[in-house]
Amino acid sequence: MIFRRIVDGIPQETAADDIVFDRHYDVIVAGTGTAGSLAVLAAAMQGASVLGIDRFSGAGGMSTFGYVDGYYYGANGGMYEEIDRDGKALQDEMFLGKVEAKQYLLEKKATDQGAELLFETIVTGVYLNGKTVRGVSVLTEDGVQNLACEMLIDATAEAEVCVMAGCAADCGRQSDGKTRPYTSVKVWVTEAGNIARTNHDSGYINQYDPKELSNAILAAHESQLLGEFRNKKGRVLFLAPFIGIREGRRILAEETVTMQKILDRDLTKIPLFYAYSDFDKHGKDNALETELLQDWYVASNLSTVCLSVPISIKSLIPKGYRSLLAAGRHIGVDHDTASLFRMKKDMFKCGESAGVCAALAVKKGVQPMDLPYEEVRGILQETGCLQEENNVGIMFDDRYRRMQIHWLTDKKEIRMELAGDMPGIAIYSCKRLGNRITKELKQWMAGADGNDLLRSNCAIALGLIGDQACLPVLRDIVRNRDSFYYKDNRRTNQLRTVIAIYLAGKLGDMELVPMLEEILLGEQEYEKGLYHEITKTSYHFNPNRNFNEIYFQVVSYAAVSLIRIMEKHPENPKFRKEGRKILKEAFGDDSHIRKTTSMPEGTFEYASMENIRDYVNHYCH
Amino acid sequence: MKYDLVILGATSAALGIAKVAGDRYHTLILNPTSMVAYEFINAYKPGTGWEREPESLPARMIREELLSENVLCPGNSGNAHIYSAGSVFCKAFRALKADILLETGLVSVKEKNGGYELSVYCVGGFQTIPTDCIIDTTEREAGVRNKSLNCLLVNRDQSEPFPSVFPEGAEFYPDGDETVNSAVMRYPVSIDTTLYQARHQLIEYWAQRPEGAKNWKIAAIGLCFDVTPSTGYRKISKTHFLLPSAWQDNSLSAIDAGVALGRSVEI
Repeated sequence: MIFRRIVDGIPQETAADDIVFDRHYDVIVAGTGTAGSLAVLAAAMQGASVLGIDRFSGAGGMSTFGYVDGYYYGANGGMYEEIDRDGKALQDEMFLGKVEAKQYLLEKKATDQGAELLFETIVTGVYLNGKTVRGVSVLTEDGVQNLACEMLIDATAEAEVCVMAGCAADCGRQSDGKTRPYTSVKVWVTEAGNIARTNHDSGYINQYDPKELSNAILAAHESQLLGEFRNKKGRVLFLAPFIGIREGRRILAEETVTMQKILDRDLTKIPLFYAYSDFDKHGKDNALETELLQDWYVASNLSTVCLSVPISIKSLIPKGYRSLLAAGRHIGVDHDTASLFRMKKDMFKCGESAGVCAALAVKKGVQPMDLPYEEVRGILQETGCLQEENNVGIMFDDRYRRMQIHWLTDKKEIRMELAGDMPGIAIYSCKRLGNRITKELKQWMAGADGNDLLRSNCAIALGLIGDQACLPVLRDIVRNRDSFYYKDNRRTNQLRTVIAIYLAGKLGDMELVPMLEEILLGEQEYEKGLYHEITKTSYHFNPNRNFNEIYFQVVSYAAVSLIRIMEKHPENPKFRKEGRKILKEAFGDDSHIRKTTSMPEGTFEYASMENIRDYVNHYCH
Repeated sequence: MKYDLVILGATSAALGIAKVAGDRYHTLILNPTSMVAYEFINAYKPGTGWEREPESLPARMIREELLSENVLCPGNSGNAHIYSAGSVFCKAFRALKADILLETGLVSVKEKNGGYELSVYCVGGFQTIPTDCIIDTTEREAGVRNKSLNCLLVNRDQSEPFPSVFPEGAEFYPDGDETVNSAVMRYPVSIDTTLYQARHQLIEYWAQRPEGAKNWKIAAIGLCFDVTPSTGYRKISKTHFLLPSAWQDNSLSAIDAGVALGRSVEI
């Protein structure tokens, strides 16, 4: 037996042959948050002896201590629905808000099923035989306890226990390692005597650095004092003690769900449940995301499209490990997918599935991967956790537009859609068709006869395919600082200038460089109309935000596209030197940050341009 | 990293200590949760003596902010909604010349080389922190004489007064104003009760409330206990002090007490 723990951020391993466990459980769930609380309940309902452990003083995690009391997408069905129904009745009788009732019920239902709950307790180490988990060491108010288990579910959301056990994990985006912005939540009572919660993105955080985490918590809560985030009349009740961290480590699982697979619908046929959301990435610094996400979110303007994603047991199993499951946003997904796979309903279902599989595996004396799928499916279908109706594919799914998306192949239909102001589906369909549609796109672009939308959209589609014929049109769009916004989405619609800069950069267009230089260094740039006079109603602006998003997007894309162009031309060192000079001058001071926002350092608004500056400076140096 | 001074608990008293000691000594505040000044704010501890003018400049500055944020009533009526003051205290802690580690649990304290060696557990795992001096502002060492779990009750009907005959088993402190009709309920529990157990007891107690109190709903439940420590300030040794913040009448008194101790400490 070996014992693994983290000391000063580094995993340590020691022999533990003489370990005597204080207690033994079939299933231990580390973290009783949104996923973990359902894992405890589901495993107990399958007859397992279960212990749920959490560092907080109760269950629910983001649903309770994070005070995220509503839902954003996620697929319906599962045991959480009954808790919600019972919680509503209890709320009406006793509580002003939903959260306390839900927490009470999550805990009560678990203990009624025989589960034990150990709160204000931290898992500090893991016992293993090779790569098979045997138990954990926990730190309670009364000291250290060693607890044995047949199955361990890591529901910490941060893969804390998996990493402790030695599992491989990844974190953040490729460009700069940053994860999604985090949130501070304020809970208050309105004059009408109702509970309200307000939250705002608070910046970027490395939650694994103790000092950075501490400062981020204080900064986020302090920012509630800023004028931008003050409420109308009411009284603050508390600041949620669990800040909303949207992304962290992701385990290397037996099967990783990637954005590419989701878009290609190359997904498991043996799901435990379906997840469902858009790529809700929150950050504004799109330019630093993967090209795949930018092709979808920016160039095709499909940011609010929702996608159903089946999740199999393999995505919950750390690669090569036994008797260990992950449940929560840290399962095997890539960075892009992490923005989709984090919604509360799906976390509840992930926990329920993990709890069922862990308990069944113990009962049958097998590993979760070896469970008969039909039996698991039957149990999960009974509660509605798994239902085929949730396999809806790709959809616009909001009040603005509710329709299933089928990629277009008919050329007449594509042309018609490209002539409109909601061309996203057609543009992405062209990307899928590739060279099979380039000839027509060029013809339509050339013969657009004053149809500005058709001409531009054909250029964008060609740009996505990677055809240089689009460049003259894209350059025109940038030269004119075209202020047109597309209208596919209920929010986060994209500016045509930004799309053009992105695609021309992706194609390595040297002729775009003088325009990028003007954007980054031109003294008159900030005075241009588009930065101050956008009146398009299709774009969802939050007027309370002290953030010039148009300027931010244009400048950030100009900087990142210049880097892309430089990278496409390694044969031209003189140009690369000139490009670096432009970037160094542009980001040598905080003028671009200050033209974007007057919010202080440490706020999301400041950090958005700061991320671009840091990325550029890192590249230049 | 070695510190001259480690303060246990990001309490109001810790704020006062660090405000003055942080200028002279390399100071670290350790706190097991993410909450600061929690012993009043997150405990929904009503406190007393809010009308008194604090003695120290740091406490007076906080008081000014609490007045401008309407946490304290300008007329010094003694009515305070200190639970609304989280952001003000986060700002004050962030401005300190001291390091702060939130969500960091204390595992053990050993005397070593004339000073102390603290073992802590945080997001970075186990860490060892040497220090010359410890001030414990929690009730961990001081002990607890009694404790309660408090909650805030709200009635949507602004005109309905709190029942004149209170349900037995708890104490009530109406703190309504022209915005919200509210009262703090203190629900006493035995010393060995956990927060989780106390929360369930409180909820089950309020479920049995009399008909006259039916419109009073729980708006928020304390995230930590309202405690009365067994002792106040104690000097254990030249380099080890207890100053349980919850012993003080209110957050501002606790800051005052912290400032006084912070000034007197010689390391």
